[in-house]
Amino acid sequence: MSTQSKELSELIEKKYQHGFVTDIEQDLIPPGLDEDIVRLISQKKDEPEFLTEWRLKAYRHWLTMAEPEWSHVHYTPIDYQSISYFASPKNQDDAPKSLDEVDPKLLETYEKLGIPLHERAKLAGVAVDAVFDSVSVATTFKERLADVGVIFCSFSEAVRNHPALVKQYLGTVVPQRDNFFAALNSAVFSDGSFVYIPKGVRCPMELSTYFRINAANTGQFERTLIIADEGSHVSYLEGCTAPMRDENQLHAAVVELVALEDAEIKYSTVQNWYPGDEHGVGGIYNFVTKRGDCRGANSKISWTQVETGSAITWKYPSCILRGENSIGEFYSVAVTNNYQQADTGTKMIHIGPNTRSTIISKGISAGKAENSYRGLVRIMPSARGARNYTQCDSLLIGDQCGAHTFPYVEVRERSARVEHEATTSKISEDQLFYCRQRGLTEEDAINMIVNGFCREVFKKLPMEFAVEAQALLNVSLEGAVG
Amino acid sequence: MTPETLHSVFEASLNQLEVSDPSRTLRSEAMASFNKLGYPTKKHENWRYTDLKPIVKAKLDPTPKSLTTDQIKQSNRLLETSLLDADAARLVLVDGVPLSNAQTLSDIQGLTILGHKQTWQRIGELQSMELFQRHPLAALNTAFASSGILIKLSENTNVEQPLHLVFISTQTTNKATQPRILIDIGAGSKLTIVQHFIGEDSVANWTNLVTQITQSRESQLTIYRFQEYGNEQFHTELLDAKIAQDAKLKLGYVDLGGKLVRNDVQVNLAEPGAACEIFGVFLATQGQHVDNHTRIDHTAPQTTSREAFRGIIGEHGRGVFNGKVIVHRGAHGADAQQSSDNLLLSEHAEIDTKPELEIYTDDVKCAHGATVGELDAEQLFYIRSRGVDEDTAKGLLTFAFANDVLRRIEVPEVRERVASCVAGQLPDYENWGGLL
Repeated sequence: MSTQSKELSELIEKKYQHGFVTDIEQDLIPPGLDEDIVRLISQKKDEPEFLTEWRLKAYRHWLTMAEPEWSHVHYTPIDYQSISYFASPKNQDDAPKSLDEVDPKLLETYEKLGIPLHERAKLAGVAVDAVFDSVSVATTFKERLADVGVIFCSFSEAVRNHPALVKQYLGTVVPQRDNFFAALNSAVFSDGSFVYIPKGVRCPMELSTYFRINAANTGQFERTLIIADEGSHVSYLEGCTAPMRDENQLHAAVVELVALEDAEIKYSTVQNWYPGDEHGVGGIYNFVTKRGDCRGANSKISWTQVETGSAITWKYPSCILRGENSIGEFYSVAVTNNYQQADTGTKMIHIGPNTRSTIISKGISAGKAENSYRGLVRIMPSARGARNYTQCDSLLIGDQCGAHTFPYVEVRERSARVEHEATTSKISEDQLFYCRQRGLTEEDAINMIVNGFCREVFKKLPMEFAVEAQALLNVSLEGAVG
Repeated sequence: MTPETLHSVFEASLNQLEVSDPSRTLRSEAMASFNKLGYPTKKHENWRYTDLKPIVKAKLDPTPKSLTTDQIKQSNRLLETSLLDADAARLVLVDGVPLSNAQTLSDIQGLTILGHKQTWQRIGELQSMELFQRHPLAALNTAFASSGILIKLSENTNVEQPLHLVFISTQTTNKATQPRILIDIGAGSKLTIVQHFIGEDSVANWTNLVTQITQSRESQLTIYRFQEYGNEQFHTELLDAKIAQDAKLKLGYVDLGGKLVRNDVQVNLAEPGAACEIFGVFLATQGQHVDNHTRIDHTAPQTTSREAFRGIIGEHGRGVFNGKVIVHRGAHGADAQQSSDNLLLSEHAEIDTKPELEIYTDDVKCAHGATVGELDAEQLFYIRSRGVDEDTAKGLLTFAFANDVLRRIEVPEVRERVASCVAGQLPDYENWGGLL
C-alpha cells in the first residue's frame, strides 16, 4: 500500500483543472435586489411589458417565501442582497455573427476547457449556444436548424423575436410561485436557451449549450424553455464547468420542458461546476428547478444527468405525466467527494391513464461527502394502469461519507403498479481482489467497478457525452480511494 | 382536546397527586414539553400523511379514574369473546386502569410486575426527556399517564409461557387513556409478550400508549401486538427500545381495527451484535387510516435489522408506511433489510410509503424495497382455471399475501387466532373461509 499512498496523495492534491478566470470587461449591476433592480434587468434586456410585470409578480411573491430547509444539506445562509443579479460581456451591443467575430479571449476560455467550439461543432455536428455568464454570445448552425423550422436561440432573442411563444409557455410548467429558488429565478433570470421544435419535425442534430459561470459575485439565473410540438423529437445537451473561486456562487436555474402529443424530449446534463477545494471551501451552490410536462398523449420526456460538480446540488428533474400513455424517465449518476453535498432525485407525477415512468439513480459518495436521493412517485386516481419502476443504488467509498435514500411513494389508484428498490454497499473486497489479481492498479480497478456501477445510466447519454462523463467520473473520484 | 383544555386539565390533575408523588416533576416537565411542541401537524415531515385533527377536535377526558362496575362488566363480556388464549397469564388494562380480578399472572419465576413508584423511578432513570422532545404524544402520555406498569425479568430466565397484555376500550364518556409500560429484560433472559387491543364498535376513545424497552446482553424479547379495536377508536403509540450486545428484539404488528391508528417504533441497536426483526400486517378499509412509522438506529458495529410490512387497503382506506434505517458512523458491518408491500383492493384506496435509508459508513449491507399494486392477474387466472370463482380467488390471494408475514408469529394459538381474524376481515370471506 505504500506506493499506493504516494500515488494517492498526489492524486488528492490534484487541483480542479478548469479553474481559471478569463478577464473580460463586464457590465455589472450593483449587488442587491429590489423592484428597481428587477425593472433594470428587464429594461437592460429590452423586454416587453408583460415580461417585466411577470418578473415583478415573481419577485413580490418571492419576498413572502422562506428558503426551504427540508433537504439533507448544510450551508451558511445566503445573503441575497450581496449578490449581483446581472452581468453580461461588455461587447454585447455588437454581438458576433460568426465565430470569427467572437472575442478571442472567450475562444481561449473554451480552448482551456478542451472544447474548441468550432472544431467540436463541426466534428460532432452539434450546434452550440454558448452561454458565457448570462448572455449568449455565439450561436451556430442556426441556418440548418432554420431550414426545418427549429428555433434554437438565447432566451432574450426568443423574447424579442417570438414573444407569442414565450408568453404562451413561460411559467406553465414551473410557475413563478413554485418554490423559493424558482421564484427568485423568475424575478431575475438573466438569459438561457429557448428551443421550439415545430410539428412533426425531428431535430436534425443534438442541441447543446455550454454554461460557464465566470464573473465573481454574480449569481447565474438561467432560464431554459423547450417546446416540442406534436410529433416532434429533440435531444438537448447541457454541460458545465466553472473557474476556481473561493466564495460560494449561487446558481438557481429553471428549466421547463413541454412535450405535446407524440413528442419526445431527451434532456442530458453533465454538471461539473467547481465543487470547492478539499477542505470544503468555495464551490457552487446549485439550486435548480427542472421540470417537464408530458402534456400530450404518447409524449415522452427523458432526463439523464451526470452530477459530479458543485459544492451543493439541490435538483429534482421531474415529469408531469398528464397525457395518456406518456412516459417519463430519469437516469442519474451523482458523485460527491470531499465536502460536497448532493440532494437530488426526481418526481414522477402520474395523472394520465397508462402512464409509465422509470427511475434509475446511482449515487456515489466518497471523502466526507453527503449524497442523497430524494424522489417522489405519485399516482393520481385518474392514472389507471400507471406503472413505475425505481431503482436507486448507492456506493460508499470511505467511512466518513454518507449516502441516503428518501423515496416517497404515494398511490391512489389500485390498478397502478409501483416498484421501488434501493441498495447501499461499498465496493466489495472480492471485486477489487479479482481486478487486482489481473494486474490492474487499485485506482484503475475502482474506476472500472464504479464505471460498471454507472453503466446503466451512461449508456443513455449521447455518445460524446458518455465519453466525457466517464472521464469526469474518474477525475471526480481521484484521491477518494484508500 | 385542544392544547388549552389539556393545560387546564393537567393543572387540576397535578393537584390531586400527593406532594411526595415521584411522578410530579417528570409530569410537569413533560407537560411543558408538550405545551412547547403542541400536537404534531402535517407540516412535520414525520406526520405529513397523518392528520391528528380528529383527536384534537374530539372531546376526551385524559385524567385516569378508577373503574366503574359498568366498565368492569363490559370488559368481562369482551374478554369472554375475544381472548387470544384463555389459559394464558395475563394483565388487563381497562381504559388504562389495571383490572385486578382478571390478572391470572401466576408466580412466574424471575418475573416481577412493579407498580407506580418503581415505574416512575425507572421512567426518570431512562432519561426520557429526549423522547418527549421528539415525540409530543409521548410527552402527553407522561403528563397524564396512569400508574404505569414495569415488567422486569431477572437474569438468565427463560419464560416459556407468553405473557398477555390486554387493553380494553369501553363505552363510557370518551376517554384519552395514557397507558405507560416499561419492560426490562435481564441478561440472557427470554420473554414473549402478546399485546391485544380490543373494544366495541362505535367507541370513540383514544389510547395513547408509550412502551419503553431495555434489553440487556444476550436477551431475547418478542412482542406480538394485535389491534382489533372497534371502528371509531383512535390509537397512537410509541415503542422505544434499546438493545444491548447480542440481544434480539422481535416485533409483530397486526392492525385490523381503529379509525385513526399511528404506530411509532424506534429501536436503537446500541451494542455490537444487537438485532431486531419487525414485521407487520395492516388492513385499512372504510375510512380507516393506519400509519406505521419505524426507525431503526444502527449505532454499533455488526448490528442487524430485518423489517417487512404488508398493507391491504380497501375502499376509502388509507395506509401509511415510513421505515427509516439509520446506520451511524462507526457501525461497521451493519446489515439492514426492509420491505414494504402493499395491495390496493378497490377504488378510493390510498397508500403512502416511504422507506428511507440514512447511511454514514461504508462497510454496510443495506437494501429496501417497496411495491404497490393490485392482485396479480396471472395468479388470479391460475386459481380461476382450477374452477374457483373470482371473488374466492381474490380473497384467497389477499389472505396469502398477509399470511406470508403472519406466519412469523411463533406462538401457535396466537398465530391461528390472528390469521383467522385477518381472514375474517377480508372481502368475501364467507366464500372462501372454509377453504383455509
